[in-house]
Amino acid sequence: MTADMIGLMVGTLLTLLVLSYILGDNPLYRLALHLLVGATVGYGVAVTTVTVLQTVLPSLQSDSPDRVRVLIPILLGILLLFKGFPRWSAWGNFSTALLVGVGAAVAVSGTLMGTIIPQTAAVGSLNDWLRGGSAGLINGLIGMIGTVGALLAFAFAAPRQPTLQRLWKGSVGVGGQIGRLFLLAAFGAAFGLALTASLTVLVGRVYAVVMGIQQIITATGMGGG
Amino acid sequence: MDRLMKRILPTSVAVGTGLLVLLGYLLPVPPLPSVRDELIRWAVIVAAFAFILGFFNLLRVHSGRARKPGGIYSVILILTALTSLALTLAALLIPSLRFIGDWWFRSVLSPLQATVAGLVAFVLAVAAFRLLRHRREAGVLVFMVAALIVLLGTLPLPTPAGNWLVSLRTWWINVPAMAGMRGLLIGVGLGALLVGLRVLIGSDRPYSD
Repeated sequence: MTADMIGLMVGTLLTLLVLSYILGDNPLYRLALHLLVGATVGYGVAVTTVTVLQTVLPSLQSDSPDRVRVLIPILLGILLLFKGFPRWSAWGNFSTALLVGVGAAVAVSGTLMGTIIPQTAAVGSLNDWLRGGSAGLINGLIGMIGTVGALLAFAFAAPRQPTLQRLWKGSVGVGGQIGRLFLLAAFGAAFGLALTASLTVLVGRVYAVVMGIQQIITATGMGGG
Repeated sequence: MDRLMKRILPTSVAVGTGLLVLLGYLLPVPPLPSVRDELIRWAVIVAAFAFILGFFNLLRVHSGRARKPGGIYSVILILTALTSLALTLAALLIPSLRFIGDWWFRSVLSPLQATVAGLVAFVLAVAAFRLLRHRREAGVLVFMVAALIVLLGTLPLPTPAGNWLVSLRTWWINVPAMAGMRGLLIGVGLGALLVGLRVLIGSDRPYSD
């Protein structure tokens, strides 16, 4: 029996184990999930380790100033491993601080330049909408009302003064209600798209199982022919 | 000394590196961009160590569970993780053993991951059914209409109904759904911005234990 045939059998069996969830939560499904977690984590750690080694080792072997620049993160990485020992875990705080600090800065600049500014600009201006005629104007207005409304849907604070509170409910409250409808429209569309994508994958897997079983029967001569 | 090690020095590192990276993005004046790139490179290398630490933590947690009832799953997880690590390392470090890594990926990882992704369809359908059964309100109706428009618009139906549904689906995704998603994205962005700024001014210190 070839390695490909064994692989086909293993793949088919694992697919069936996962699909057994359709009958409800059961030990076979739980077995498949633990296999999935173990295999994925082992693979991920191996790929990460080798990638970092390939990046770091050439710099360490050379006599250039790069050597010192690479030694600092390696030292921080080793300090991070102290987090695994409660008694020494404070030594790992420097590495976590670097990760959190750099991560926060990347997140701030990323959300500002990659999400907030482009998404606000994408709502468009009156000139952009008018370029698309009356349909463009209506679509632009719907887009703007929906975006502002969706933002207002997350406004949970309210002023304490009764007059301002009434005004708040009449403006932000109503805007938030309209925004909730747009959010549901978005969630519904995302649901439909996710369902379509996962159905495509599911059909692919079921087809692979059917073809796999056919090939196994043919190769092992279990078909009786 | 304890306060210095646990609070003052880590906060200085986080605020200092964070501000340097942020300045590197906002003011691309030399040498700030190169300092930014270097710090990000350091963070990537340290993150790899964090991944390794997470792996050992997973092994430790599951070796503790292995002795409890139902521990057979934890034993299987540990064995699979170690096998996967060994096979993938061997395949990546020794070119002649690459076929083993390919076999593992093609026969074990790929079928498992693809089938779990496919199972999402089943879970989503069950969730929609439960939603319809337990919550009958206007919001649910909008949600279901949106989902139906997207699903029906994907079907290859004959013209003219098919063309009309495709146009409706495209309009729905590009206008009302996009508006809702854009509002959500801007809201999430504002939240992330606020959390990031709190870390950068040292108001939040998730690294001090």
